Amino acid sequence: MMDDTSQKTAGAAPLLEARRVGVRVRATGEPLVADVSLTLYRGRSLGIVGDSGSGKTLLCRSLLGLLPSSLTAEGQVLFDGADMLHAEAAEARHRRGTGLGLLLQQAMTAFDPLRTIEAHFLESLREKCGLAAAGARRKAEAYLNRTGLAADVLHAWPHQLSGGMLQRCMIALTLSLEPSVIVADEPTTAQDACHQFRIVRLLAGLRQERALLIVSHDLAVVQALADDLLILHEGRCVESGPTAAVLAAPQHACTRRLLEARQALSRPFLQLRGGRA
Amino acid sequence: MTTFLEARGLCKSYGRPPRPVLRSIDLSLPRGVIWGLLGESGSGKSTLARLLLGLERPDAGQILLEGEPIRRWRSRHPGGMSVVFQDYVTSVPPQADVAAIIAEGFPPGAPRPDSAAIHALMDRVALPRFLSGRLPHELSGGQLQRVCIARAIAARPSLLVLDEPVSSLDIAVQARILELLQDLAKEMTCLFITHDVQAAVHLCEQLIFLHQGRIIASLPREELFKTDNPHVRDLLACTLVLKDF
Repeated sequence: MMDDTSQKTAGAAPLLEARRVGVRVRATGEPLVADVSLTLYRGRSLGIVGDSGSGKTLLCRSLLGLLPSSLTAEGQVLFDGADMLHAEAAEARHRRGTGLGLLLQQAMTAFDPLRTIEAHFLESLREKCGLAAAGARRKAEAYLNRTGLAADVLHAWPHQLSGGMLQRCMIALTLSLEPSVIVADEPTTAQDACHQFRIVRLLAGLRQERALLIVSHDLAVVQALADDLLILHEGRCVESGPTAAVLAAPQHACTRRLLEARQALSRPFLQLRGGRA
Repeated sequence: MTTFLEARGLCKSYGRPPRPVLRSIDLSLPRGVIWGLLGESGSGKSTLARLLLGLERPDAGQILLEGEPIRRWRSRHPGGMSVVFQDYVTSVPPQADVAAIIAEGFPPGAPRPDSAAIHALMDRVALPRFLSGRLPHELSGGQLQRVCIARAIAARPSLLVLDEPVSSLDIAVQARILELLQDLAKEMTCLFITHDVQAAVHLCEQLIFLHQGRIIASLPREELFKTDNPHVRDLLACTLVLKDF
């Protein structure tokens, strides 16, 4: 585990910097996310943890410039010379894919039901990486394989795959574009233990060369992946720091509650295993 | 312990050409025990549950409840079996309020439950009574899953099937729902379907592991780490827990 000082020396210039980001409901002005700042460096990973409704997903979407029009954004998200929060749609879109990659929680709605999985890969890899069909197919197969899927899912339609398989297809599709920043919003929710483990290992391998932001309500997943932690509660950052330090001495009641819940759920398993109870 | 449910040689295939999902399943569930049914996605867990609930018929094999074929037992015990699904949102009618959803759980033909009966069930699942007039979209995921559990136990079923009831919930909410289920399940035979070994160990005294449609292990919780079945050992090795920090 690297400490906070190594973070500053590891990647030199930050890849992405969010400054005092806020999100409000356009109609009422109600704040949903307020005053959150974070920095992502190459070779480093940041975990965002919080209850449902704490603003984790909205924060992710704002980093990619993907907020729905019913919401307004404040602050800045600096990536590759643009402010993703206020950039023109085309400029923001140009930076997604090979620059910023998003792994969504809901894979079911991420695919066009009228096109095969292969069509999704071919279009994305052609448009974003300029790959012709044969090269795109090879790359798709390689990344599907890394998520534990056989190449024959390329011929499947979205409705023919389970939620867990679709989620892995989406992970393979996003990662095949080789984004420099990976924003992963609960990427393992639909997975059984073995596939969750595989995806965590895959992301852990990729973070060496990229920046990773991992969002989860499960501290065990975040601990396995994140060098640093940011705890979100009711749209605000209530605690942040190196993962080991935050877990060893949680300051905020919300952090303590999340930690205790994870420990309570694991306790019978650990007792049986003969490890720490 | 008397056997409550017995299954012999259950087989089920889907598709054309037929792809076997369950291959010769034998099960014997004593009354009043919480069973965990574990396996990877696609291992046949939910299909087995649908057969045991009588929602689908096996291609081969037989299911007996208290020694009777399942169809006869079901017709003699309306509301005798019940189920809670993972997706609480699609499990409830969006225009019905909490009281109406819970009332659905009483068997057809039974007297209409009064508000005292509804409140008693809400108390059982630790739902505040003031929520009884709320609509599903006004509830959190944890609250809505409690509504589904209240509906499932309304008719005091003998068999309760829980198909991934906590997988879509936050960890903090999961722990609370598991405690509730632990308390409720003492009164019935309970089958808890999950891919999460930690949740299963939390709740279940007995664990059954499915792999590619076959039962590969059936053992008491205490013997989980003694098994030498490679698939079970894989699942245990993959289970993510918080490491010491």
